[in-house]
Amino acid sequence: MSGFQSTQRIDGRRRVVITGLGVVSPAGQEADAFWETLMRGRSAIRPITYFPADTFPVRIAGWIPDFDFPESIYPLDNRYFPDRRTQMAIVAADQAVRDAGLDLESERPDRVGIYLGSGEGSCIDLEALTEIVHRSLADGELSETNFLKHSLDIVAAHQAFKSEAGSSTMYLARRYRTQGPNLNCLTACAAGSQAIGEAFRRIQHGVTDIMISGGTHSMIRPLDIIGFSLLTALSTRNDPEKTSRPFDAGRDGFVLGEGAGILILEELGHALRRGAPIHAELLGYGSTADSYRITDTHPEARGAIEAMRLALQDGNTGPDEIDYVNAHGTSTIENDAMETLAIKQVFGNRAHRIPVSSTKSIIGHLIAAAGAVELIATVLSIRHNQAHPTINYETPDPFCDLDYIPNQARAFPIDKAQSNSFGFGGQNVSLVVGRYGERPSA
Amino acid sequence: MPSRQEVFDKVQNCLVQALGVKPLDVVPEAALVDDLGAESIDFVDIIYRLEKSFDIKIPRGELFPQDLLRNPAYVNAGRLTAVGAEELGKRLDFTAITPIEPGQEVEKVLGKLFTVGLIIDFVLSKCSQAATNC
Amino acid sequence: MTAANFPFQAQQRRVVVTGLGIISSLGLTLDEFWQGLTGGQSGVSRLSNFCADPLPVQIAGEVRNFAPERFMQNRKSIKIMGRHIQLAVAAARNAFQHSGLSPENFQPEKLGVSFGTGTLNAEYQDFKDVLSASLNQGKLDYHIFGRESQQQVFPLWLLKYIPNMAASHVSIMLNARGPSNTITTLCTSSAHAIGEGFWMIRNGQADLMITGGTDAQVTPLGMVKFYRLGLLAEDGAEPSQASRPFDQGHRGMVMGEGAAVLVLEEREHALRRKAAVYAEISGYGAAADTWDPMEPNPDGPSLEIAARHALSDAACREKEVDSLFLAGNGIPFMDCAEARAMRRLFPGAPGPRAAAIKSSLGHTHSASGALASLAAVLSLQRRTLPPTINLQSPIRELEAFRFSSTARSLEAGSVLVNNFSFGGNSACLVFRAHNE
Repeated sequence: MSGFQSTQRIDGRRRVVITGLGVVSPAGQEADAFWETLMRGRSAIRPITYFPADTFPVRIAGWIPDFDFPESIYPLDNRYFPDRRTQMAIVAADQAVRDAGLDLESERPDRVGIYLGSGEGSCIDLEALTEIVHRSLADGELSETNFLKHSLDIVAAHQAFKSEAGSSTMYLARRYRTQGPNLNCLTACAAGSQAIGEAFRRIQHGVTDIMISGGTHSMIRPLDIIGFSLLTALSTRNDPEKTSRPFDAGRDGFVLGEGAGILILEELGHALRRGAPIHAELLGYGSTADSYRITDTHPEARGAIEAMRLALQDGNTGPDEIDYVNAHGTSTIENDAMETLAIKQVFGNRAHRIPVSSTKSIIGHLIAAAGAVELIATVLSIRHNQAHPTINYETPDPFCDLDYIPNQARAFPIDKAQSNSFGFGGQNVSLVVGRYGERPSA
Repeated sequence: MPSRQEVFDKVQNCLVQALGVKPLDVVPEAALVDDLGAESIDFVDIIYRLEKSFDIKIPRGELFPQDLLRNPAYVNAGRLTAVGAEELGKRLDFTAITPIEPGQEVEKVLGKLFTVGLIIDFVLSKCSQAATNC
Repeated sequence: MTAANFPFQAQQRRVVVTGLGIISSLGLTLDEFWQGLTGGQSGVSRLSNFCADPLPVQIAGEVRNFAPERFMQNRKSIKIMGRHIQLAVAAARNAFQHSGLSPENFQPEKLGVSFGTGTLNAEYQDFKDVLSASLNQGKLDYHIFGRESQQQVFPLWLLKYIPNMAASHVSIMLNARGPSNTITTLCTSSAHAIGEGFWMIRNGQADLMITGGTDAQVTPLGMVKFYRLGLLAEDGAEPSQASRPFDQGHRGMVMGEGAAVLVLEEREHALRRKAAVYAEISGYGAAADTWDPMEPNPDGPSLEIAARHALSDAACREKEVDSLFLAGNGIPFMDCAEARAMRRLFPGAPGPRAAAIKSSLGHTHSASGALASLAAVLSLQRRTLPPTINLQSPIRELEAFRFSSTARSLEAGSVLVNNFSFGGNSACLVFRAHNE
């Protein structure tokens, strides 16, 4: 019996495989459609018409005009009718559970858990706040007393409760009757990857057998766009097809996106016993903090390098085994130069021979959902032995001198790949994923 | 037009608020990064406070030309090119600075170039353009 | 069940608590907090941080006399910290000092942060200028808003509230470069965060974790939100008597705020540097409820599962539990569900000794698990169980449990800490007295 069939690693930890994928993204609302758009290399960024945005500094986003939440799941008049990012999480999770062929009723409910990196919903209802301001001014002045008086009539408390970052996971627990650990982490743009890494640990260490994990977020809202824009994180180029251009010399900020990526993680033995489809094996996870500055990345990419190395070590994988890197690649000047530096430090001379691409070039930055959707893209790369391009790569930047798979998808053998996610505050997460089983030798 | 002293007083207040420093540390020759500990995110805050204090609009990149300093035509391997040094000098024509030598490290240039005095010159030049009372 | 559930303990690393820090309505130091708590004082009083006249409920457990600049070396960071972040950074600083750690006795890559926090709780003051300017015939005019917001909104406001900022500021302050996580699971956030931090050390990903949580929702919008959800106890004559978990007279919760931080450390690491050890953290369990997005299953099955898993993780039998720190927040449907779960876990008579410290502090939401854990650790170290105030006659399910209105001595056993969130999400922790 060859080693790869053992359900335990040498260190005694259990092996974890990915058996289900679900995705709601600007590039497609299930895994195959998502993959096709990525491979075609066509931008999924659109002008914002979700609200009147014409005077906003940013007027484009990777948003999903035709996202439709089936009323059969929750009727619209139910007071717990979920908000947009929870809707997306439910739709993506349904796909993932179906894809994995899971019959959750036959599982021990306390051995199935949920770990999401879900962003918050619209905690601040601008129109309601404006109404409170309006009524207060009509009373003479915008004093604290007037504000409080009118907010008592206007604040929609259930709305606020439903938009808590931690509420999406509770909807999923209800829907799938899971009684295992139910967590949500919100580590800015690293949240989706972090959730998957932590979910992976739970199965490795025997706490659960199955985890429903990933991320969901929708920030295509006036205040969120203003918030990121004021921090000068967003590009104000406003050309839908051309703005997100990771690693290109002309990049000048990221483009917001929305969506959800959900994966079913499963203990290998459990998956084998029920004859589940195995998309890939999750091998390693690393999380670090820069401990440097709140928004600046560390000039020597200290935390990013360490997270990538930890993920490789954790996955018992040598840097020479990685065939493809799905980069965080936000299209900001700082991140892309920093990440390039990190890749070069981790892979040494081989860095220039490892194809690297950024999913954000096509769909924008899904914030808390980004890492999860990008891990799905990485898993699909392994399945197809193909990688999607980094689009809008036109002018090389001397600080970014790797092979970014410019503009055209590429076919090449991919057995092991690494996916990075970095966030405000110096959060760094890296995941290593590999083909399950062995390739037939050449 | 406000007097130089009036501008200084308001600039001092902005920097005390934005950088958490003591008023006495905000002297004309103090450099924002090297002496007063500013990080890139603080420049955003400083501009916001200057705009509010003086009722002026400062487009992104006008006062702190970070875009220019990260442009590969102007910066090579972390050092200013000849074109870059010239362009930077042009952008800062509202103030009297010694000519910027090419070949210097950008981070070092940035660290000492932006002084309290330079901000005051910038505000005075904005006010004269706008011909407002600021 | 233990062996089957937790087969991977290759390194058998034990984890102890070596530092504590708290900012609470009972005081800004460990001693003030402990004296207040064990002395049966209440941190609940009339609101003082803002004028609450129009509100039907005007009491809360507020943190008073908190001056952030006393705790921050990097003073300019204060402007980008919401109040909850300021409280967290202050508590973390105190905990770190309390632990006796210094740059020479730890490796930065092996020091991590795991925090529980709430969601963006921005306040109307952040937007009142721009919204006033954007009014057009009584409605929000997006065209005006799009323009005005670029001038009228503090450009760094988002940083004041992004949930992971507490952990990030702490990581920068303490040179913590190891794993960093921020959990946002409402009232279970910080219990999850402490449990996760504990497992990270046990599994070898870190030697030291700064863990805990923070929340500051005693604000106009926070008060209005919980009032409108119908969860707040209406004012009685005496604010200090309003929070009455498990009492037959419980009518709802009382808002609270605060932050608590525990320094967790791998036991050998702590012993090598001759650190003072306050207790050992020995078990963690978590479980979900499948009932209703807001109300838990009235039988509290999730809490029972979480508690059993935590005890199993700690290899601790039910009868070895000396004392219980109950989640009890005074909301009848929450208290009753918790009580039923605990009754099934401890069916015998007399039941275990129990305390519900929200009676003194109100509900500190995302911070509550950290405040309770810190109180549990102090109880073990000082061999004293704090009282449950305002409990005149316990609800029927808990009649056999041994509450006390005054502090009592505590045996050197194990303590189970419950955390139970709206919607029934549950997390339990087990601490035990540390033996050399």
